[in-house]
Amino acid sequence: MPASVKAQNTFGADLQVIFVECQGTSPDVAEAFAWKMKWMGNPAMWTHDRPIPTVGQGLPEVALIGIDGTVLMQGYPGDLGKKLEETIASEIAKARKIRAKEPEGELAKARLTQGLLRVRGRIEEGRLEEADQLLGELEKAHKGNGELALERKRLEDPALKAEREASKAWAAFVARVASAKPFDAANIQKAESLAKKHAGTKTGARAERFVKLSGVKLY
Amino acid sequence: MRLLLALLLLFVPAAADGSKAVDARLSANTVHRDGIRSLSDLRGMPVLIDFWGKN
Repeated sequence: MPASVKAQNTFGADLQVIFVECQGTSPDVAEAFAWKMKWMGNPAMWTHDRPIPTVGQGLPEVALIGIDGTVLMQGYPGDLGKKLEETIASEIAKARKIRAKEPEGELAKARLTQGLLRVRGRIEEGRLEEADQLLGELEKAHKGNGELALERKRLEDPALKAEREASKAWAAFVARVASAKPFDAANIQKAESLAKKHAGTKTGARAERFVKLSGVKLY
Repeated sequence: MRLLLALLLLFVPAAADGSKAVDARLSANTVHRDGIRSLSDLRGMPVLIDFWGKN
């Protein structure tokens, strides 16, 4: 688990880590546990539904899916060792090479499509700071793209002013606390004040949830 | 029963024999889903799945 968090932080947006809870722990407990262990605050996804079956008899287990969508390796992380990280780096390099060689190719198109999905998802979730950052990157790579222009217009809607301010404050809070005692009393107090200040926004609800999770009994 | 069948169909993954591309929908309550609906939406980038348990 810590190795996958490290991989997500190391490779950033070039890798997608999906954590799958496999022991039937309730979503609240699992999420609170992840915050407490300082595993949040990165782009990793968290779910209880296994996208592919496990192959081993115990946990932890990891599976690496390559850029072509096939499972390249799967098993106990300790057995995969350094080879896992090397293969991730190699897949990223392969994808970059293909995109550079074929700027209008399938991989480049897939990356734009995925970027659009993420931007839209972030806008819907009220994560406007993160949407703005990603949209900026996509605009640089795909100058004059109409779909991106539409999302820019949507993101800059004056009606989203409150969400935008809340999102900015929350992103700064998460960046500060995620890897440094997230559920410290002072951090809970700050989250409570953010929830109150930004009540009625999606970020306000997120802050409220964070406060609730801080009170969840883990054992 | 129909609901159970529908849920099973929703989460039954494709073959994971290493030779075929795998795909599966990500459930709507995935945390940080980020607009991504399925594994195929992530095609073109490596995906690391970490199966874990709290205990």
